[in-house]
Amino acid sequence: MPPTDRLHGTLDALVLKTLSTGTLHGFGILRWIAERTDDVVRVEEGSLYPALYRMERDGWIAAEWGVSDQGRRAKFYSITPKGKRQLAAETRALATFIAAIKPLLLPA
Amino acid sequence: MNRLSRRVWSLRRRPGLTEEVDAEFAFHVDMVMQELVAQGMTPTDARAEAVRRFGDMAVVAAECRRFGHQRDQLRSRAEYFGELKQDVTFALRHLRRARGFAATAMLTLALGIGATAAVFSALYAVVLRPFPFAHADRIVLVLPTRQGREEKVASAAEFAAMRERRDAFEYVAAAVFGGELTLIDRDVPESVGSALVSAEYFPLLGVSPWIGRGFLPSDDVGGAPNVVVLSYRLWARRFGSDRSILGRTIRLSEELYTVIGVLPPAFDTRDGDEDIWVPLRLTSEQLSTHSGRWLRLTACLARGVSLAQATDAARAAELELAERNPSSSQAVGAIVRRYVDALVGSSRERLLVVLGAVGFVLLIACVNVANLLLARGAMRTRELALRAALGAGSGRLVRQLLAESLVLAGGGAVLGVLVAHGLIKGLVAMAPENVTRLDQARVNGVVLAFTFAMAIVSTIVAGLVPAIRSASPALQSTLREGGRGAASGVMRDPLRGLLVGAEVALAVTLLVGAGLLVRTAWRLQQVNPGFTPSHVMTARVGLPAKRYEDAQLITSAFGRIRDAVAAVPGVQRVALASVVPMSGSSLSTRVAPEGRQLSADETLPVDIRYASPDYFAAMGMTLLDGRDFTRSDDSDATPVAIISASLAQQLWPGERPIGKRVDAMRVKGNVPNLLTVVGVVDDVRDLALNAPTTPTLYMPFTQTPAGMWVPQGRSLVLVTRTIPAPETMIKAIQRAVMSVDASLPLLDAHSMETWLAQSMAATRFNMLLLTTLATLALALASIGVYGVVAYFVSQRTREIGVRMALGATPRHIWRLVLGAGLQPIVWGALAGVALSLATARVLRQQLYDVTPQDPVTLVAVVATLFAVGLIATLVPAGRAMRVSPARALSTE
Repeated sequence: MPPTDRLHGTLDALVLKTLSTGTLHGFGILRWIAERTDDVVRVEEGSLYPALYRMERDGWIAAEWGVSDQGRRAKFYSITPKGKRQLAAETRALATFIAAIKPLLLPA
Repeated sequence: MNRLSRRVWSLRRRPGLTEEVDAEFAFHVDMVMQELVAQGMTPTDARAEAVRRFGDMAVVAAECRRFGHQRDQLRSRAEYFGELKQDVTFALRHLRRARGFAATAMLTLALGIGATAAVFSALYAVVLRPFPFAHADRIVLVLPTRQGREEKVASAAEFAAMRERRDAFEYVAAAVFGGELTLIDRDVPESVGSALVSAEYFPLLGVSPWIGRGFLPSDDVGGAPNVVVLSYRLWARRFGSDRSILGRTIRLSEELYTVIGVLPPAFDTRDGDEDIWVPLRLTSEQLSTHSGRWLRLTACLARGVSLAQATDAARAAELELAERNPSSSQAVGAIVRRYVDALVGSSRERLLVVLGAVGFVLLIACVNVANLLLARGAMRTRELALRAALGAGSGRLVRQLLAESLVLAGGGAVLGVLVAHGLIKGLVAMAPENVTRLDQARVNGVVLAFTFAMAIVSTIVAGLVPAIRSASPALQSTLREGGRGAASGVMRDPLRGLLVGAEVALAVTLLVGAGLLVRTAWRLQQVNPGFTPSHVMTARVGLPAKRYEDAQLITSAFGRIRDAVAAVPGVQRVALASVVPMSGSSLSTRVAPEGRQLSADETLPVDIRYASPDYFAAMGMTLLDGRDFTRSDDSDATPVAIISASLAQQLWPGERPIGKRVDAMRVKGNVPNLLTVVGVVDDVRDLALNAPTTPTLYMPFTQTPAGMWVPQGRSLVLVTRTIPAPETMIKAIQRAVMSVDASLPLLDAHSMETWLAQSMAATRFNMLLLTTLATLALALASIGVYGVVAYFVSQRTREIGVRMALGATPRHIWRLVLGAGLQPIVWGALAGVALSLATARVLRQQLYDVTPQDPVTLVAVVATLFAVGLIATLVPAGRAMRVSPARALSTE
């Protein structure tokens, strides 16, 4: 498993999970993840936005320009059915990975 | 922005995409700034920090743009296919409502596409398909030349010499084709084509046996056990594909052979239609003999050697050989030709001509469909205008109309595959026999791909112009005019007339081609072959080597055979000959008049025939001077010869040749071999009616040199002139032969008329093919003419009514309509004649005594065209004449 894939996969899972709860713009996604993980996971802008465009190309998320709650024009993302399936798959793969390395690196 | 410009924009990174990314980043930066300022940073610091968090913003933005671009591409492609699906669904719905029109168009296209696919499949099977040899491009034929004339066969010494040239050839093999052996398996005799090949033959061609093995050098020496290799089709047919055949012995013409291998089914290119291969087994004595050319040399070029280099090497080998054998000609050489080119022969050119012709037919079919579409389009202006009003751009409208053409062409292609299937069967059944690999023609993947391509081409040719034509008036808000009002613009549309004129031109070209071939066939019918082919039966009888070793046994056996057949009731005359006209090639040699010291190059090339007494009478040939052979011209008597008239002219111009002596066939050294001329006979057409005659030297078969029986295969042809039909006599003749020796079958039993017909088979086939295509083209073109004139009448009904009301007689109306019909015919005929003058030269090879610009043919074709065109205009003209003025004027 190449490191980039695992990295992509985890980021994708995070973003998809975030969007499964609702429609957000890019900034909102960052904030949501930071809040939910108590600031432990801080996704970088430089990783997030390319990932968002990539996932939009692959059809896992859909984008639409709308108006933020402050009245400003922003690009909002939402999850698609295909994305939901991808989220489930990614989550499973992640769980398997973690279960595999946990006894190796973090023996009880 | 409409579709087209949007498409162009997306070819570059759209400014829209950059703006999209920048705007998104700007929003994010502002939000972060807001947060940081709320936490106490200064706006400037906050902005700097926000930007810093992006890392290298330009790089990130570029990456986002890259993904965004891919996203846009995928999206527009999905949109495109979605629209296409929509267009095709619309088209299907529309065509279902116009079944008659759809059926006509599809059938027309099916005919055109099917015929084209059938011809293409023949071209593919014969020419384009890869050959079953490894490195087919390196396999060559080595042909010796004498004074520039190519010989098909070489001597054994030449074979040995070529084998030495390792610099040019990786392998050289020698072979003798055209043999026949009698296979006796479980007492059922069958004659099977055989070939003698040297051990290098199969490795040279790169053919690996299906089961078992090929020949090893150890099989190729005298004294080794007899072994044989079978063809796949013989193994399947005769031995039921039973693998236990390996190691089994079978009886071939009195000898036992062990089967050691079977060749794969793909090895279907056979020179002499052979099914068994036996080692050639040249002795070292034979390998040093340079007289007598009887071996076919095949070679595989060494790596990196070109044809030219190989030719030079072969020529050098020939010159060396000539030095060591001073009696032979000085102007020797050799030429090396690719084997696959020789196999394909002239088939490539012939098939390409037919492909061109059938392409014309497809073109005509497409033009007919285009006319149908134009007529239909004129009727749909309201519907199309509605679509335009609902937002479809002109590009979209054209695409929708093209989708209809696509559906028509698609349906036509599917039907066309069925048509092609049937046509291929017919083509293969009727084609002349010697077209290599034609029997493999079928509808396979390649042909299907070609059919698909033709469907696309037909869509564009038939559909594009009508689609553009129909779409444009729709967009000029013709909604306000009445539905028929639009017709007045289209009525004077010269396009339909132009299209039909083009059809006529193409049809004329094909008719001229067909006409030239018909004239050729007719001329050939009138050529005197030099003999009387009716009521003559020929059959070859070959004696097995085992029991007929020496010449004495052979000649006495043939003598007995001849006498036995002479006693059969119904047989008028019987004779023997080494070969009959038009059934194969004969041995050749060079001769000179006695006493003249000619250098080898100045001697005259002649064909040699061995014949029995009565041969000329049996064949119906005219003896011009002197006498025929008699029984007393045997091996103890003076060697005699009978020469053909042209040879007499060449040897002793102006003098009577009887009694003079000719020097022929130097066997060893400089000893002259003198034959006394006892008779002169008329020349015969030997190869085909359209080939020139060759000077021929006839010798009594009882005086055949002993060494000549081997290349002859110890066989002679029995020539019988019969009173009843020749075919009915075969059994009786067979019984007579078997009464002399029960194991001798009759090989190649055909009447002379059959041989004659076979020699003309290619010409006749081409004529049939082209005539069929030309007739098809004429039929389609006349339908086109009928369509144009009928349309003309239907559009001008009111005008005709007015004219009649103003006093025009039916005759005037007739002339008016006729004028409309004649216009495309006249233009088409002129263009067609010009086109055929330009293209008829491709047929030059196939014509006999007719020039490609033959005026008689041109006049006949144009006359036929006008006659047919006139008939096509008759029905609409009749309808026009019967128009009632009152009704026409009152129509609204």
